[in-house]
Formats: sequence, C-alpha cells, structure tokens
Amino acid sequence: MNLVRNNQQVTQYFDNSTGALLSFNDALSSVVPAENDLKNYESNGVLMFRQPGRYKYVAGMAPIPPRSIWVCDERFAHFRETIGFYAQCESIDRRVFERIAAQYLQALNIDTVAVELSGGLDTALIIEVLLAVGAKIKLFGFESDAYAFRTERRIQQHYKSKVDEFICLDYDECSPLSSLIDVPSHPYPNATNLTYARQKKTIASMHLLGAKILLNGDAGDHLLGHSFAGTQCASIIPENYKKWVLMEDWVNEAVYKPHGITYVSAFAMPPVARLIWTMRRGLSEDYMKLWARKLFCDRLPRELSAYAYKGSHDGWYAASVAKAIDQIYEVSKVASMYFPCQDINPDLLIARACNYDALPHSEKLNFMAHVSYATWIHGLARDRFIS
Amino acid sequence: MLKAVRLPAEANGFWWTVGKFSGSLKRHDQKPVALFENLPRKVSQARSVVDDPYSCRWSPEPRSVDLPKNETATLCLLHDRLQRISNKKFYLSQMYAGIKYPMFETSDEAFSAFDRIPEQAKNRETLCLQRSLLVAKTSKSFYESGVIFIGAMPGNLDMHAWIIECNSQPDHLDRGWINYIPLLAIYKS
Repeated sequence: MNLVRNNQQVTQYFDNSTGALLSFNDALSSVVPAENDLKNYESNGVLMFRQPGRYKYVAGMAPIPPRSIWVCDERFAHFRETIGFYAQCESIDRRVFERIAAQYLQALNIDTVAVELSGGLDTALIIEVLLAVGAKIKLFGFESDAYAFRTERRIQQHYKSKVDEFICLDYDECSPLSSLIDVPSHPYPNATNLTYARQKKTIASMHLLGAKILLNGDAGDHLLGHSFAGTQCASIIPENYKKWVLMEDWVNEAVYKPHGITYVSAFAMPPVARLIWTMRRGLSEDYMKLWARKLFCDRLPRELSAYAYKGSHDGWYAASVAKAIDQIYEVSKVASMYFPCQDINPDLLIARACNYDALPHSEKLNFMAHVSYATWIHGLARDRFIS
Repeated sequence: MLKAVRLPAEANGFWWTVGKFSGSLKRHDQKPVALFENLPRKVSQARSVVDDPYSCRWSPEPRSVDLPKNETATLCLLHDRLQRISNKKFYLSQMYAGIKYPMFETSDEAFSAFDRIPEQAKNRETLCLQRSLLVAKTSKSFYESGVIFIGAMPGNLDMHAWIIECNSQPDHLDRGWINYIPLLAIYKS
C-alpha cells in the first residue's frame, strides 16, 4: 500500500506501476491506455473525482487532486483526507469577509482578472465582492435567445450595466461535442472534454479582454449549500466539502495554461474557501443557498436574493448530439482502431446518437462517457501514436 | 371538470405541442395554426407569470400543515389511485383529478402536505404530474385560480408539470420549472 500525498496547487497523477506521483506533462508522456480502461472509467463515474470514495485506475493511473491524501492498493485509489485547510479562529461577518476576500483577489493583479458570469448566485457573489471594493472587472459569459434562458438573461443584463467590459458569446456557436477532434491530449479521460468548443471560444475572449485569470463559480453549490453541522470544533475542512477538494483540473493544464490563462474556481482558492467555511461552521444543509442570498441581499439583484431558481443545460446537451454526428464518428473510428470494443464502435455509437432522445437517463450518461472516452483516445492517438 | 388548452410554441426549429387527451409531446415541422386556441383569462394571466418568473411570488419555506393521521392516509390513497391510472391514461387522470375532494384551503398547503406521501418523497422528479393533479383535486384555491402547466425541454424531450396560482408557484421545492416551455394548460372552468 502506498500513501499518496498531493499538497500541490494542481492535480498530480499516481502511477500504479512505479508508485510515483507524476506531473501533468510526465503523466501525458507516459500514459499507455489499456484494454479494461473503459470499464474502469465507467465504473468510476463520468464526473470523476468529485467526491470522496475509491476509484479504479485508468491507464494505470489515478489523478490525485490538490491538497489531498490517498491510499492506493493494487485495484483502487482510496480518498483518505484533505490537507492544509483550517478555519479562522474568530467569527467573521460579511464586511470582514468582503475585505479579506477582495484583498486576496486583488493580489492576483486585478486588472488581469475576468469573471465567468453564469447567471447564477455563485458567480454573482464573486462579482459583488470585487465590486464592493471598487474593482474594475471584466465579465465573460454565454447568451441565448432560448426560452429557458430568460432568467439568466435578466442577471446578465443587470451585471452588464455595472461593468466596463463584457463579452457575451452565443451558446449555439459552441455547443457541446462540436469540437471533439480538436481536444488536446490529456493523461486521463474526463467528460469535460465534451465542452472543448466552449473552452476554445473562452480563450479567444480572454485575449480580447486582456485577462490572464478567469474565475468561475465551480464548487459554490458545495461550499455554500452543504451541511457543515457538527463541525463546530473541527479545524480541518470537512469531507463533505466535496467538489473543490477533489477537483481534477486537466482543463486548466491542457487547455488554458498553454495560452497563458488560469481558469480556476474562486471558491477553490484557499483564503476564500476558508473564510466561507468559517462563516458556515455548524450550519446544516442549505441547498438553495438561502444563507448566502440573505447575507448579501442588499448587494445582490432581487432576482438572486429573493429567488432560488435552478437552471438546467440538459436540453442544450441533448440538442447538440444530433449536430455532432460527424465528430462522434471521427473520434470513435480512430479510438476503435486502437481499442476495438462494442461501446465505442463508430457505427454503433452513431446509432445510439441518432436514437439519443429515446435513451433512458442512465444510457444517456453511458453514451456521454463512451464519447468522452473515445475523445480521450483520439487525442492521444493524434498527438502521439499517429505522429 | 378540468379543461385543457394547448399552447403551441416554437423551439429548436420546430413547433411543439402536448396532446390534450394523450398528454404526449408532439413535434410539428409547420406552425400548427389549427391548434391555436383562445386562452381563458386565468390561463393567460398564469402564462405571463411563467414567461416572467421574477414576477412570481415564491417562498422557500413550506407552509406548516396540521394533517390528522386518517387524512394523511386518505391523501396517500388518492395519490395511489392517480399513480395507478398513470401518465399513459392522461385524460383519465384529468377526469379523476376533476372530481373535487377538498382537503386544503390553499395549494401551497397541499404541496407541503404531500411531503408526507412516501412515494412523493422518494420519486419527486418523476411524479410531478400526479402531484399537480392531486393539488387540483384537493385544494380549494386551485378551483378559483390555479392552472397546471405541462411543459417540455425540446432539447431532450424531458417533460414537467407545475402549478401557477394567484401569481405564485406554490410548490416550494420546485426550482426547475423555469427550464420548461409551457405547452398545455389545465384549469378548472
């Protein structure tokens, strides 16, 4: 058994054959896909490493997320605990929170920071903290004239009027699965590779805005909404703050970093996470995040303080499948040359794509897992095997 | 009796409707002109709230309802019947829900009480139609001003049912209704 620690700021990869921790680039150059990888990937779940548990190796590796300790045996990597996160001793009110969080965010060189505006509470809070200290911020988001987008549109309009620079792209110009053959090679399969088209557009917009850091609201649901009851005395951040603790950041490493951009959750930054956790210590589950809506009610627009609507992009994903038949066929054709199996057979995958609407929910998830797996193999094959 | 009125809508390059009798989602290549109907005032008012969710009154807190044990059992029985009729017999479900069985003054009280129905607690996501029809059957305020909307997400053909009543959405746990285009409205005439 190996005790694997990763106290880095980025994910490292545990190589089960050598027992070593590898960096992103080392892992990428040594990755050798194996026959049972697809089964292992499926059994791990499509959204990888977002909660404590045990995970099978894929290509003999397991990504070890930042600031976490893992125990590895022959078959599994088991999450053990998080490291290096402590609550403040004193209690914190909103003014203190805003001051400290803003100081930290400004230390990043605020002129180069942009915020991804999703239309939800989490990114709005990041914007409000920055606006509270008079920071001039740049906003970036996606818009659509679809009916389901009417609530997000209102939030975007609100913030557009508050900032100098705002870039809004059309959702339909970068639908999921539309750029699979261009996905950069990465050492480990992950379903976020399906949205590469969106990431490409984001990079172009960051250059236009002159931004080097793009803050997103990932993990806000967990930090602002999960139960922190029973953690009155504990100083180490509890296990139920799942997503950030276990965040796998291949997107930042493979997509953004080569362009000189850092794509990171503001909630994953240690001081921000610590401050919010300190404020929520002892509180029970609050999945509507009413706590935060109330605390910031005089800053937030009424649409976010008085309502807790939850947008869904499921329909947007589903609609994109039919448009991506060529891309799906191309990546699965290459992938199945290296690892012939029914699940990524191009003809069978296309048949499932054509019938996607009628698939049961679990089959839809499996379909996405198989496409993202084929995309992973395709990227490796294109950059390494074929050349 | 409950009545239904179609609300054809355009999305993703097609026109969409929900059948009054079948309850099934239908896709049309052309605008289904013949299916457009005059909307009763109650429906058009409720529809305007759906179009602008921020004009809706909403409370995150459930109404506290004191329901005797025997009435909880009755509620479970009514719900069980609606489940047996099932989504497949959509029109029969509407007819059953149209036979009044008043138990609650308001629809938000009814929704709060439904938390005690074990099937609803377990399968909230899939039993939205039964939940809405049970409100129509048991809430006095629904008779006056409630409208059930059946909507769809055209991208993945997912469907949902919810209620708008007196400019409010009385189901305090339903935060996702905004994602669906309303295609059929059911109301007490």
